[in-house]
Amino acid sequence: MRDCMRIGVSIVLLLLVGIASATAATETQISQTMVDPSPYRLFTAVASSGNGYLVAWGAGVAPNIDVQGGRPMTIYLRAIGADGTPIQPLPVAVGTGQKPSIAWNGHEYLVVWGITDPTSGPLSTPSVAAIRVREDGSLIDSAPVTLISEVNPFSDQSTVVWSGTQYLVTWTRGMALVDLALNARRISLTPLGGEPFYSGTSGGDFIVLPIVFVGFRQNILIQPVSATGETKTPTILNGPHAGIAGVDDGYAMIWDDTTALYTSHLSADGVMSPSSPLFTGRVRLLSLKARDGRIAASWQTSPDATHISVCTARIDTATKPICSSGVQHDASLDISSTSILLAWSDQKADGDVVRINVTPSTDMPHADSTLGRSISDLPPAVPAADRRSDGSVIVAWTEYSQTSKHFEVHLGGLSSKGVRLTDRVVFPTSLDQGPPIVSAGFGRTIILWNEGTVESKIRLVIVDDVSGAVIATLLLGTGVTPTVAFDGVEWMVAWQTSAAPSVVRFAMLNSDGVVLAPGSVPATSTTSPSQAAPAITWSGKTFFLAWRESALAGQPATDRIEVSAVSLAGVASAPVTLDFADAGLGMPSLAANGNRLLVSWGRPVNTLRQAVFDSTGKQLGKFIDFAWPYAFGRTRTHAITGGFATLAGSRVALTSADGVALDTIDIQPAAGTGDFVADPSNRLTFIYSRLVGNTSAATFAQTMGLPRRRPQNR
Amino acid sequence: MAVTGFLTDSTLCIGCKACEVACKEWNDVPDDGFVWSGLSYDNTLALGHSTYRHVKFVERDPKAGCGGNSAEQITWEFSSDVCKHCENAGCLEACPTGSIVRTEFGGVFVQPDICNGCGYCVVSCPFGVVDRRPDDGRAFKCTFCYDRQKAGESPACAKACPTGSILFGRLDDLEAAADRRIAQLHASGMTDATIWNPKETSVGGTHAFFIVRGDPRAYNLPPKPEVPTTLLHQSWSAAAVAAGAMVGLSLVAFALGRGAK
Amino acid sequence: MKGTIPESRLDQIREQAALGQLDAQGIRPSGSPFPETPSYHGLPIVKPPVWTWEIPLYFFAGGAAGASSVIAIAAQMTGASSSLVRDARWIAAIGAAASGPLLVLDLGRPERFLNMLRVFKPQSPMSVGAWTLTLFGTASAGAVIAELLRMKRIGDAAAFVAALSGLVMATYTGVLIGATAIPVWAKHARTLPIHFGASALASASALLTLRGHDDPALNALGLAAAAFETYTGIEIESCDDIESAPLRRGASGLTTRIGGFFSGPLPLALRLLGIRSKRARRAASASALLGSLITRIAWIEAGKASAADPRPLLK
Repeated sequence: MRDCMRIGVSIVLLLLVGIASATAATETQISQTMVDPSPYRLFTAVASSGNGYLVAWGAGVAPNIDVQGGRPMTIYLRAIGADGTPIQPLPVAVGTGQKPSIAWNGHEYLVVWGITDPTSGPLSTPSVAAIRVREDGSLIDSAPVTLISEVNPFSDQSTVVWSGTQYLVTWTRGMALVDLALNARRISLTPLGGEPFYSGTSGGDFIVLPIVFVGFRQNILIQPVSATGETKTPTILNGPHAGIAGVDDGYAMIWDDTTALYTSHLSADGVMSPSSPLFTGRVRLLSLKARDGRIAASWQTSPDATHISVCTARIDTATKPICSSGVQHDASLDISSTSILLAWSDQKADGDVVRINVTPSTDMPHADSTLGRSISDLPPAVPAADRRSDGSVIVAWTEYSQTSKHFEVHLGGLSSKGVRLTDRVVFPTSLDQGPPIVSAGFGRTIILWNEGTVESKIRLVIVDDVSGAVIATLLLGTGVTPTVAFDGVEWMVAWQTSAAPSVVRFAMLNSDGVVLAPGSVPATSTTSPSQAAPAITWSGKTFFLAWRESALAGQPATDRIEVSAVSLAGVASAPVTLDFADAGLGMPSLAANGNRLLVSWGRPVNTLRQAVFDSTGKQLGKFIDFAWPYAFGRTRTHAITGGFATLAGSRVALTSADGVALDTIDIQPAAGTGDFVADPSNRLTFIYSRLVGNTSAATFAQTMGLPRRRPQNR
Repeated sequence: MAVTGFLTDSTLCIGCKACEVACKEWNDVPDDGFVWSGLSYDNTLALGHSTYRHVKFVERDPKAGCGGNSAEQITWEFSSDVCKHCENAGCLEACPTGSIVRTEFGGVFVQPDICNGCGYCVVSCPFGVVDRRPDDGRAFKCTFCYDRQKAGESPACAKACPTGSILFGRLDDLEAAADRRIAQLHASGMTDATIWNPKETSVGGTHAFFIVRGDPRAYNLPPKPEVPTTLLHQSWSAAAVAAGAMVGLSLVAFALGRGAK
Repeated sequence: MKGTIPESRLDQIREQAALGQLDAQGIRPSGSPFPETPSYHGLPIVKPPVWTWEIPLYFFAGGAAGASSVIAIAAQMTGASSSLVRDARWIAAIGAAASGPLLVLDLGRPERFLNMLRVFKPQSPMSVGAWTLTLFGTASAGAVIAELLRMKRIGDAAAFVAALSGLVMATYTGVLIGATAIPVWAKHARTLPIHFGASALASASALLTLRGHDDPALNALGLAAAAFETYTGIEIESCDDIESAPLRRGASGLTTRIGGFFSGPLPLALRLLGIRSKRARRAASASALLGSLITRIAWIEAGKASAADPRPLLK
């Protein structure tokens, strides 16, 4: 009897432990709580593919923008479904600049913004940047492309529209026709000049609305531009602001004369019909979009000192404007085939939150701090983690220092008992330090990050684990997305260069920081494709490097996942193409477990694909595919006892060492934004940053055990 | 080129006078004598021919958002005054040589190679900004750093301001920023924050406008400045009346006198 | 101390305090019950005029010259003595000739005086004045030169142009200082041109009288001007607004009163009481001349005092 009870009790205990470990998911904060360095969000922009939306905005450190000088804003994007549910779990930072604008060309979005970094002197510097984004919000270009370079950029206002065959991009000093390969052909403004501020497209041609100063009052020119770039004679409109959208028989327009807002219609060659009043009051930041006969407008007005209102109205059905009642500003909107999305910035005492409200296209959304949802939730940076042999977890993350006014990389983590370790700044410099990666060595740790925001270089720092002293530091070339792996004696570091076409470079370093064998990955084709997003692991015998290659803009689209083995002497074997697709392959990750190697990557549509290799690099079996409920960009793969775990989005896929798909586990969306480490008893510790309150954030660790379940195949 | 402006947010000013120093160094402005005024820490006292930025020290009792070392001590609000670059500028209208012009950035600029120092602009500015420099003879005032703006830079004071109290940019953007800032201040409990931009007077708004707390008159910002050209009609009409009277009286006097002879 | 101020002053203090505009000198302790307009440490807002002695002298000389050319035409058209006409034209020419250098000397950069003629800006009274002086100077000089050269028709035409521009010369200086940001001047923008015109007329007729032309027309003009100046003086004394305070208080107030006395009551009395006395008329003329000059000085001084007080602009 007693034995039975004892066994029963222990089974219950085991079960309890099992349940407890599966459900024990308490957060440990491992960084200071820091105030969001860019809590002020302005300049929302929206475009619709017809099926969904892409919303962009700028985030800055101060509520007011100094046009020239000061810190530029960071441009963020987030893809939203037609019903208003975000497709991506979190916003994505794509670059720095001002005032984004978006156009959909039938296949992808082009996001365009202006750069006003304070530079002086006679050299041209990037002035208008762009990035191509897929419908699901993942980035086609891994870094912004410079469309226009000017001397003394003063390009804080840029717009982009797609005519059906080409883009028209405008900025404060001019305009250009841009093709799909992002080649820009500059076209001249008429002698009346002005600063292009608004643009629309209809029937393959364009109308640009530059602002001009007539007697130092701001007025609008209606400037038709043909598809070949010929500008026709403009006419003047006596008002400072306008919004324009192409409709079947020309353009719909809204404009104000400083006392009231009017709607009007333009013929295809810019002849304006009589206007009718829409709203009385001083307005600014007008936004107008049209699709399939539905025309929607939004604008901003200041009824009194305590309020700024965003007002919206349907023009085609002549609805009465509805204005918000708090402090809402910087609104924009677009129309999909089934709905209308309004995005705006909702001001709080210490920052802004970007909110969206989506209604069916028979209706019209309006702005209200209780309506819709917030989409600008943002952890400040993506942390990286690695596990030391003593069981402690080292974590590196970026923090904004209020004293030095810079982003700095901190190193901290959890002890083997799960207690927070005191964190410290690794190596402060005068430049901003970007998201780090970290790898534990023997008694030393290597941390890499991007340094500086313009022509960012990769910095490498090796610190002593006990004293924290910096053993070595050096700057690798200009590049992004570093990755590192340790073979027990040395580290191998790889990154992608910044200049297009990007190339993956690597280097071996000993633990004193001496570079032993630099090199680059050989090209796989004669048309010099773009190599990006490298990942490395040590198989026990050799380093394995995986990366993604894309065709350059303007060539037939192909994405490929490539792998190569790199010897200790730094010689890379001929790359092997693992997978290819027309587009949409995600960033690969890989890990080694014993004599097995697993490479993971995402592929269309919403699939996680994996391949298993032996330690010599021979692929075993075919691919393992997991269906994923959403699109994801980046994967993280680590070895666990018995196989591998791969994190993509907020789901973890478990694969056995032999390449059998075991299970998937969903975790909290915020917990999947960083990295994870596994301990020998298969407890996964997720390291991530998330918001604390409205505008503060911190880095956290959350440990959970894996539930025991039967293996499942797809 | 955009019409640019200054938004001077006095709630952020710390009275460091970096703007005064930067402006004087960039524009090679002479010193205005080293005098102790005895008026708080303001020894600059006013805008003039050798001062284009003037930091004002307004003494206050502590209140929310305007603290001091202790609740019993007097504290300050600071504000950096500058040429208002009026939409309808008195100095510009008054200048007989055409020296004072409007630049492509919307600022008011005295061309130093044309000015002959007649001094009429000095009495025509409702804000007392421009003045004649005694040893030089010409009139001087804030240039809006026209040379820097042409090079695509922001004015020296805006660049030097450490707190972002002096904001430079497109006028439209600054007005939007001022609205947001006022809403933010009101939400934080500083309900006496106000924008001073005399748009409804004949000045028609100033390209350098201010956010101040409390009564703008405590900063010597006049509530109803008028551009003196509004007086021209009544004054010239009176001159016409006077002229008519002179002619009429003279003729009558001589005609009657002749008749009397 | 009892009896040092009249009771009426106490009434005045109470009335002004009720309006929040107490016009008093002395120390204002902070927290005192005197209603106080908030200002920045009491510092001035607008700048005082930078002009020196040349300007009031020019106002006087240019005004007299302009009025003299008007008298010349009126006299000529009504058939008065040709020597009167000639002297009037000469006064105009000499006055114009003196005006130019006076203005040029006052400039900060006198060598650039020609820049005044770069543009014509009707909205700037000084631009109008510069061009008017150019025209008047040319016409009045032309009138006397033509007379010397015995070219009567040209002389008459020039004199006619001189008279037209002389009308502007005599009155525009009132517009010049009226249309400014100085409170005391701006407040009187409507009356200054008339005042200066009357003063100019008085000066011109006084000069001609002292030259020897004891014409009853000149006496009538002098009488009318003196009567008008007396009326103006009463009007100034009864202005109790804060803008006009410099006209009654302080050094500028004293100068205004002295100038007003010599322009108004004294010549008026002399001309009325000594209606048959040539000496009285000559004395009245001398008084009117002195008063005209002092009045111009007074208005400039009042402008300087007015600029020092920020209160009118902070209402």
